[in-house]
Amino acid sequence: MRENLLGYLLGALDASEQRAVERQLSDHPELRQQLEELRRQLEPLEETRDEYEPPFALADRTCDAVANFDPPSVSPAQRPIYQNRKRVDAPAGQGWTWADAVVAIGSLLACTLIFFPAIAKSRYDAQVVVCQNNLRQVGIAMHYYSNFQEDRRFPAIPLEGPESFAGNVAVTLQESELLPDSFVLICPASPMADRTDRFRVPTRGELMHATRGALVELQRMAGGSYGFNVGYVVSGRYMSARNEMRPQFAIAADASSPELDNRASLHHAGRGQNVLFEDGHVTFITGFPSESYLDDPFRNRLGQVEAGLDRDDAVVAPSIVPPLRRTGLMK
Amino acid sequence: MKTVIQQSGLQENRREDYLTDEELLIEYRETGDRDLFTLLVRRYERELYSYLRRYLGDSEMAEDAFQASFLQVHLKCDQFETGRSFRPWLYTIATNQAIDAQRRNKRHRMVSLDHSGTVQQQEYGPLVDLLVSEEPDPALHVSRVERGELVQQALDELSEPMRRVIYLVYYQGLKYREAAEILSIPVGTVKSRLHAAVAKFHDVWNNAQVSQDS
Repeated sequence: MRENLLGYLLGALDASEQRAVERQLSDHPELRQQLEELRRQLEPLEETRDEYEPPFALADRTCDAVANFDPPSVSPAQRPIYQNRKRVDAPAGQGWTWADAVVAIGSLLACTLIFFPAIAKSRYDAQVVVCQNNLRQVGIAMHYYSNFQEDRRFPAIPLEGPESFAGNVAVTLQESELLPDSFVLICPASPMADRTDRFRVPTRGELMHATRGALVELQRMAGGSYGFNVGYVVSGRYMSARNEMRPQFAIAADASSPELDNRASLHHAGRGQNVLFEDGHVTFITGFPSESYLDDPFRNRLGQVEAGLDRDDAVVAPSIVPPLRRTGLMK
Repeated sequence: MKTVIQQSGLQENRREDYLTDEELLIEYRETGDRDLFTLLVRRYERELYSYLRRYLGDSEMAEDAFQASFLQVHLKCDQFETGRSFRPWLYTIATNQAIDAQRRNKRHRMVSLDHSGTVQQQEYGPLVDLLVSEEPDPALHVSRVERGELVQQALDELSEPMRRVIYLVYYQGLKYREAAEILSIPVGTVKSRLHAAVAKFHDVWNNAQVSQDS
């Protein structure tokens, strides 16, 4: 009743609710004391109720800005993401793109290995292949995303707030409708593969409104089985990686585990992990550093699981990890 | 839906002055007549700017968010459903723009008074000096502007969800169900959240008064 009394005081009720409260006030005079108490609680706010004066000619300047709106010149923050993936790669009349071919070949190979055990050496091998195909599709989505950014950067991760976690990259890709389906985020050799009925990528709204405990679970789940590149810090500025198609720069991988040495993944029986590189190729790697890959993609040059120290210092972190754990890197 | 105001005998008023917000937007969508859009923007110039200014605590950010909001109105006018109310739809867009602006700039509300602690803590610094007075009620001698800043400081002690319902319902005069639509939460949640927000504001405000008395 107190909530409706407050609404009555503020004129926030519908007409029928308003009449109902008036009847209650008439029948129960003691409610008027509660009403007065609420009015006193609101008194300090009364003095701040004046509207702010808008800047000179705000409406006219706004209308001019809208009239002169030119989509390609809009900043990345304001640009609507994309509406048709195929329009990016395929000129009119062409159905297949290189991306479609990659996905189709990968899917065909994966199905072959799964449904024809005689060909596959083991279920283990099949899972590695399916996982690689998943990461390729994630890579395509990230590639498309960066193509539409003026600065060609991958999805940014906020430094603060409910969206400050590595898996927010997946939220952005999902929101942009670039992922063929959210299950490409699940490695078949991960524990999450046994719980696909409970998996989904949360929306931004869910993240913003989640309670603390629920938020932790959403952040842990958002990236699926995979970790994502958390960007880098240079000259005190944090930024997401720019897509330069570098063959040794990792942008996603089987999520590493703090329980294993050198942050290997628990997927694939802990024998190694698939890593997606910026040029789109995926490689199964059994350990870092190696002869082929000198940079540890799961730690920065300080050995920390957070943003890199320069544009070439790739760090792929599990979904729940924020891009910066310490403020030292920003100084 | 806003009612149409009938003003007979005022020959100088244009036909579109009598259109509701919803009619203006739909007709703009169908005809592309910029004057209709301009009229809509001017109707909400003060109200929406004030909301964004209060929400963001910064005039520049508020102006940017205001322009971005109406750009979205222009871009999404084809998504506006007939029969829907324009005002909550506009506020939904504006609220999202404000949230995005805060996220991009990673800025919090600035308290203009130079103080060194929160309302509840002992290090109250200059605020205490402002409130000290020989009069029985020192708060009466604080200027209106300073008092407003104290109120804002107390509001800053509330959570973001609580502040949002206070801005929408108390300051902008929206109905509970309109605020629920804007924030995408149940009406019951709006009611309980606002009630809790007012109660907490009252506690924070009273604690501030007690601190300066002690």
